[in-house]
Amino acid sequence: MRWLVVLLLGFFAARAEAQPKITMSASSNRVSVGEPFAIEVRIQTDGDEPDKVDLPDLGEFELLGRSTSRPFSFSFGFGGQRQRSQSQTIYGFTLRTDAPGAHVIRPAIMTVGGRRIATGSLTILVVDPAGSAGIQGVDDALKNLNDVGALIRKNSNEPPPVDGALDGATFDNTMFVRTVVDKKRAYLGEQVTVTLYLYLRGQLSDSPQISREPTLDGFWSHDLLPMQRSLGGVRQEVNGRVFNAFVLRKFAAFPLRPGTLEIGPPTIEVGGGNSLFDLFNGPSQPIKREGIKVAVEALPLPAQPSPGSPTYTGALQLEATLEPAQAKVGDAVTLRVVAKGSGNLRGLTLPNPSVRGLDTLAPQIDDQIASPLDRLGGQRTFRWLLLPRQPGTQIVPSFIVDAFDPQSGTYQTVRSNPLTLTVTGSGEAIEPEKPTSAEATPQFGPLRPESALRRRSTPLSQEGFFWPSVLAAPALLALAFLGRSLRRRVQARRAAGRDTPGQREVTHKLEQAAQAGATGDARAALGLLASALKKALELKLGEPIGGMTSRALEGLLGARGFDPQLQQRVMSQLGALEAARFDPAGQSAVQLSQAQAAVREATAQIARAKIREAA
Amino acid sequence: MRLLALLLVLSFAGRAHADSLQDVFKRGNAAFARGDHEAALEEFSALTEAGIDDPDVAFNLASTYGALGRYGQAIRYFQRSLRLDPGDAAARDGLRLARETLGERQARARGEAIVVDRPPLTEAVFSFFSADQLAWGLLITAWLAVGLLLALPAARVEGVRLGLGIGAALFAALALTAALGVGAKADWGKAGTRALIVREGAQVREGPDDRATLLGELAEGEAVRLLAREGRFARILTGGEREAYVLGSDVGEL
Repeated sequence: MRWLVVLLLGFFAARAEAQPKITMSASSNRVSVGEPFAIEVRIQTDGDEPDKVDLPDLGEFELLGRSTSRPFSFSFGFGGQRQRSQSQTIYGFTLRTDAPGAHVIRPAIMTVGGRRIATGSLTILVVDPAGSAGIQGVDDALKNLNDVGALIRKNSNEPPPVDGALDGATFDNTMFVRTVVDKKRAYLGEQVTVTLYLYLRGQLSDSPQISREPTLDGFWSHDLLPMQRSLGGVRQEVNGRVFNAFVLRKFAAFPLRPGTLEIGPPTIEVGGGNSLFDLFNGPSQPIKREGIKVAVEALPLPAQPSPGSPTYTGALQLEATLEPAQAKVGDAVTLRVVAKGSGNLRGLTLPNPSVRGLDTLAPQIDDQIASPLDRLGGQRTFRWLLLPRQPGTQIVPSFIVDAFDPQSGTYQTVRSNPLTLTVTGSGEAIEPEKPTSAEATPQFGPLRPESALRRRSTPLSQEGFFWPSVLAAPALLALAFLGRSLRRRVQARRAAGRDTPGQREVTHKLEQAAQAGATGDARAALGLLASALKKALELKLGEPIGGMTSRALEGLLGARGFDPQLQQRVMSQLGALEAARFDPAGQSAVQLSQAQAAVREATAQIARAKIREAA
Repeated sequence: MRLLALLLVLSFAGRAHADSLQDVFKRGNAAFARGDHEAALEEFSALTEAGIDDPDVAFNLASTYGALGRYGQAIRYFQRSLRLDPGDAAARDGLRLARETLGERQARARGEAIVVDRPPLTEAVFSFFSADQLAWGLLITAWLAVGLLLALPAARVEGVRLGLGIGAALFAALALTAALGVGAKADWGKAGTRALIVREGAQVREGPDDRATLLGELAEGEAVRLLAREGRFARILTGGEREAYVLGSDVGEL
């Protein structure tokens, strides 16, 4: 049962492979006025010739060349076993037109086995480049493109002609591997198409195996051939020998760093599969061939015109949209930027938009990469979610990319259109969007019909009197506070007994005592000192102490809360002064001076002393 | 008698001069009305050059610049009009319109633009008062606060003392606020005067010379500080606090 299923699958697979095909392609979909380009119609059948082929009408073009080729090819299935041969017919046309615009080439139609199979139509955009350089370029191209194959080969699986020295390969009489690059010098990010060929004398009976892939350090690469494909050979003469050349690999390589980059040598093995004859001869050994490395000089890009903006190598278009264009605070808005063009779009990065009042989330990026005619391109879509944080009209600025054209060696600054987002708060009416077109002229006015025509005047704050007038207020306040404070201090001093008439009398008595001592009247001096001490006590106590005995005075001082030490000192000084008045020994100048100092200190202590109020 | 005759002559001369300025103003309005914005600009500019610093003249001049698509100058004169008459709603609308239109133009040309230039908080708070209003406010409230404080010790009734105290504190707070406003209007602590770039792509150089190193370009409507005018050039302080030079005609004081 399982075998039946396998057989059925194989049968249907074979049927699918056997479907006749017709395709039509152009070497370029965009050409300049007068620039030659090629159209190729490829017909593929399973050995049968088509009944009829209707080629498209190319009447609006000037036909520069025409060719028809029927290369032999075969396909192989699992295990490398040969299954069947196929026939191909390739019609090539080299065309040119001087009429700018979009030219549509109608489909080619093939009739085989009673079935009509048609290709799609082609649109060729013919542009009118300004300047003589473009015309010169066309003339140069015309000189080089003398047959249809030259154009077709640029973008097909056929190997380029081998004239003279064989580059990218080490020649071998039976089989060799060749690595071909379409350019030896390329700018960073510019596509270099690398093709790996197998040149073989005779027929290919086994599937060739690439035991070592060519290394691509310093490149970003993208395969240009489909995973499942038929291996078609093209006859080619090399060094006087006819080889069949097969395309094993083809990829677009984009230099990532400047300098000399190398494409490593590949290794190919052919044959060595198991066969019935291995039982007699032993296992057959595969034939191995090694290619050579190929260098590509990667050129740095020149200084970009918009420093800080991302750069891109290739043609580029940017288109930005906002969905929706009006939103409420907190609602998500999708900013979508589609980058279309040729080149390595996967290498294109755009900075996150920074708009005041909008939170920007990380972008989601989708790629749709295609390689029509072996030139990589397509589109890369960036989607940012924007979250408005405040109401108002926000302008999402243009994205700017400096796109470098390797052909002309010049930059073109590509910009997306700036977008306006109207954000409203909850429940607020949405303001009508203001016109943003370049033609919209805002209406200013109406003008003021009358004016007082006031003259320029110095602002009040810059008038000379202003700040003194302002500062006068706090200054007056400060003066008032200062005066009040001084008055309180004077009152406090008076309350503390200083600077009173009584205090001044004590001071006066002390001065008189000093004068009496200086004149030698010791008795008078001692008497004045005792009087000053008693006056100080009276001032403090607030009552007279004249006539009091020593014991009574001591009792009074104790009753009023005098400090005991001060009390004892005062009493002892009073006693000593009385005794000294009548003791000649105590009237010496030295003792008199000591007594004056002691009394002066005692009066000061009495003035500072804290006592209780009289009952 | 001779003195009286001289006074009469001077009086008539002054009146004749005032009338002629009014005529210029009316001619400017008439030119604007018939769509001759260049002629209107000439008339209104003549008034400002004659020393007129009037909010209505500034408004008309700003509107004329706006009609001519010179939005940097329009912003400049709308701001001047608002400085002289902060309560002018039409000038505020005109300023917003000029800023938005300039922003849209720049967004189209350069891919980016700052449409709304948010002023500092202090400036925004005092935007509805003129500098003179704030100065008068400061003077009056400061003296009122001091007067109430001085009267406080003389008051014997407790309720009166409380009222005087609260009033003094209130006026003191108002005086401080007004002082802050006067400072904000006078740009205390900032070098130079406020100015605006009035030409798109004004070239910024290291020195006052056409051969001096080009540092970059400034967008029309960008705020800078004008430090000094040196010949054909003006020494400015850019938004990044860097001293540089632009052509004097590319920058206008506010």
